[in-house]
Amino acid sequence: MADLNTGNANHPEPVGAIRVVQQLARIERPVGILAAMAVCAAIGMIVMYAPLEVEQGEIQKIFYVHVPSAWTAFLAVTVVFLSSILFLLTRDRVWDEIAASAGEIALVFLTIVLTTGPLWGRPVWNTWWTWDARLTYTLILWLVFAAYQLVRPFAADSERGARFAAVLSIIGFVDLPIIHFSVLWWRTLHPKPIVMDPVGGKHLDPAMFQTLMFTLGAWTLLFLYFLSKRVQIEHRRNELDAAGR
Amino acid sequence: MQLEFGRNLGYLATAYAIVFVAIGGYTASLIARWRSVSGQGDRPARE
Repeated sequence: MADLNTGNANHPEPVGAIRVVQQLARIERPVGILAAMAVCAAIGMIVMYAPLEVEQGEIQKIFYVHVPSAWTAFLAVTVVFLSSILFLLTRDRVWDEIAASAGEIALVFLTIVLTTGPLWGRPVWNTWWTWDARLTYTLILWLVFAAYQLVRPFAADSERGARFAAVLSIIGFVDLPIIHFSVLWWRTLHPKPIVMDPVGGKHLDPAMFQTLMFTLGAWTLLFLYFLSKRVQIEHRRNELDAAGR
Repeated sequence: MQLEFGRNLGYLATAYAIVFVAIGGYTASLIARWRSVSGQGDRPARE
């Protein structure tokens, strides 16, 4: 993979970002294989190892895909935020490629969260949707990242599009702590944290906790695979665009 | 009771179907996009 040098006299020559892309390209295949194996094992654990929850029964098993998807979406949003900050500081377009890639992955996992949530809520809360703080702020984050996908194609030029997208992602990132603490700050229908419970109330059954942790690991590997593949696509596209000019 | 079990299983199956269609579909789209850009020489990938 050829280096994409977008540095100029005012900004230092990019070194760090391209290394990140090269490292991601290097780990893509082993991480992809590991992710596929881990996802299969996670399904096995969810079906055969995780016990049924006493009150909710089998429907509670949505938990094992809903929570890891939320975690992965938050991880992706954090990567977008950090890459955007680095892009604004260095103007190295490779950071923008990483941000754009993670932004797309964030939207995929946020969509999973916002579709599996109502499918769990309908039998348990007797409603598909409620304008509760956590749900509403998660929907806002989804809208921010849906808009994020549109900023670059609709911008007058790619440099301006990258800057607007970076600013939008920083605004979106502010939503993360609000989503996380919303269940503690306000009265919500969404349950309070039970895995990392700051008050020390309810605790998960050990088998449920192990299944959740394993699924979190599998989803994180999946995120790494998606990111490495998506970043290479974005980088290659920019190389082709630059060559075509 | 039986009806509720069946209904819950339906919600659960739908949720898992959405997750795997999303993950599988996204993986397929990444592979297809990578194939379309990696095979090109110096031609621009975007219109």
